[in-house]
Amino acid sequence: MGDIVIKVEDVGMEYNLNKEKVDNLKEFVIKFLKRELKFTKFWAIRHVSMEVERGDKVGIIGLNGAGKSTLLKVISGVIKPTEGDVSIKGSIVPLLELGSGFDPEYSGRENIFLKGSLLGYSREYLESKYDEIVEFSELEEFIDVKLKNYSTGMSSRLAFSIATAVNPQIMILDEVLSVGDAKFREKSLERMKTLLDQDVSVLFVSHTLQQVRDLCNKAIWLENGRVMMQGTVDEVCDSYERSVLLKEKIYVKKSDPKKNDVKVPVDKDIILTFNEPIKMGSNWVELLSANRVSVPLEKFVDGNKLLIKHPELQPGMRYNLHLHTGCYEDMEGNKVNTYSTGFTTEVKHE
Amino acid sequence: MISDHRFIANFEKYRYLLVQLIKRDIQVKYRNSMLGIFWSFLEPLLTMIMFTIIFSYIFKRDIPNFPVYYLIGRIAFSLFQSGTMGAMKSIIGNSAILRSVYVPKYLFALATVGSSFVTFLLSLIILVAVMIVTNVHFTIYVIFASLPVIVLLLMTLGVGLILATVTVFFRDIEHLYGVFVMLLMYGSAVFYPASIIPEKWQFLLAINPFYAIISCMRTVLMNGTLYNTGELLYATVFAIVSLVVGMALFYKYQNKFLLHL
Repeated sequence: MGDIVIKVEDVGMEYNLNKEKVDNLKEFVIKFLKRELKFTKFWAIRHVSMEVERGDKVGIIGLNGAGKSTLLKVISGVIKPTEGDVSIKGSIVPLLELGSGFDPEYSGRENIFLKGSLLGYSREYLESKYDEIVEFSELEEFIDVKLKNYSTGMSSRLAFSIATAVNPQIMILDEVLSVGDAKFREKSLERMKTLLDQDVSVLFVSHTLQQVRDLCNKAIWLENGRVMMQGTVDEVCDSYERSVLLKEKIYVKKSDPKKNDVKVPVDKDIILTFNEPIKMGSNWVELLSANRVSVPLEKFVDGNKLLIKHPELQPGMRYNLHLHTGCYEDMEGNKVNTYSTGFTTEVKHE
Repeated sequence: MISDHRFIANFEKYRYLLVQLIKRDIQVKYRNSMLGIFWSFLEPLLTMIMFTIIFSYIFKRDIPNFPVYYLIGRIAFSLFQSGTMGAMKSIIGNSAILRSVYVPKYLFALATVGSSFVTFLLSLIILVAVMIVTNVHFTIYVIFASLPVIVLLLMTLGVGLILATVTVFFRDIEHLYGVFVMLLMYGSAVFYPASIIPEKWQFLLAINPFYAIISCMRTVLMNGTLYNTGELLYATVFAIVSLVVGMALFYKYQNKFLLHL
């Protein structure tokens, strides 16, 4: 212990928020001559410092737009920070956007080598892991079929198998991964658990506080790009919860995620079935799209069933949904049972 | 100094990726065509026949051994054209990858130049075959043809890196450069004799480093004598300058690429 694998020192990332994007020469020259090239500067994160020791599982929490994704990108080396330093010891595997880097015209076999090489692995290493990857993905029969003929589930199974076939020293996760059908999901969750049990260091972003509490031993709380607090997971999560709820003036009973687990989304309209009745009132569901902007959903509550409709929801895709059911303090001053839970779910046509 | 070491370590680590990217580039080019990679022989051969007919019979231009004259210019031009144009689009075209995982960005530009070079090497087979068929006398100077080829490769990479960097910020370059490349082809005596250019415009050929390269190659391969070293030196200086400028630009701005993709 005491072996520091990630060291982030006073990191800041600045974006130019120019209202119109100047990407052609004419505009640039005109604006340059008119001295209109003014940019609104925006710090996505600033003065962030943190250290991760070997074996640490660090949860990153915060509201949408707090800078969590930016921090992950900076640490994984995808973007270089405007100021400050990041030093990394050991190999790092970002499990973000699993399917990127696949070539639809390539067969599954060729894609294993293409994607593997993108992650920086040598041919020899990939050859030694090849059988394991194919076996885990359960795609033996289809491995020579072009990827464009794969179903969404099949290609995400392949992507997951490649990404997790390695033994990285540092892993970066955006939400816990689970892909494919129910059977494969179980298998993939199991693999995630064995990966997490090892001596690997993990950075983990989740909207589900319970997942962070379950998986992590430390946590860092970001707000408006600044570190609000870092420390042990319970300390940070407790304070975070208190602050968020205080802001929304909602009193919340601690959620029990197992109780609130979503069973099956069935219809064209998505119906989520919960194990206990959902309180009418101020409950809402958010759709967390890829850029994590929450979109209000049209919703309808009936007993323990929740019907949601949204033009962006497509069958066959997986979404991160976040259900809040909260009740404000009622007239008599009673604090009513409320909870907040996040889950990933697949929208299906029946 | 430390960054030099990291650079080499990184290159070692991603060597296999470079191979994969070059392979993918070549496969993309000939994807879904029945003859596949054979097109890299067939295409120059067919255009050679076409231009030979046009210039030897219709315009009655007297270039000794026009097929070889044309082929040398043509395959050198193809290397430069496909290498620089590929590199120009390499960063934009791979933005999805660059957004999700750290990969040294120059690899994408390097890979397109590499795949153009592989195609170039394949079309050399056609060149040699045509040289044999047309009874070109091979001399020891053939070896010296490798020098202008290396210079051409460096120039392609240099210009490619400059274009890759600039195009991320100004997409117009893509269209502008297409026009420029055509101008370069017409201005480099690829398919016509240099002598048809009027005396007062000859200086345009003299300052064209690309023409210097194909002229050097033609001299050693067709005349069997050594080229004018001054000509080669000029092209070499140009290539090295473009490479240094390309690397410096790319290195300086690569961290901003992602904000503009």
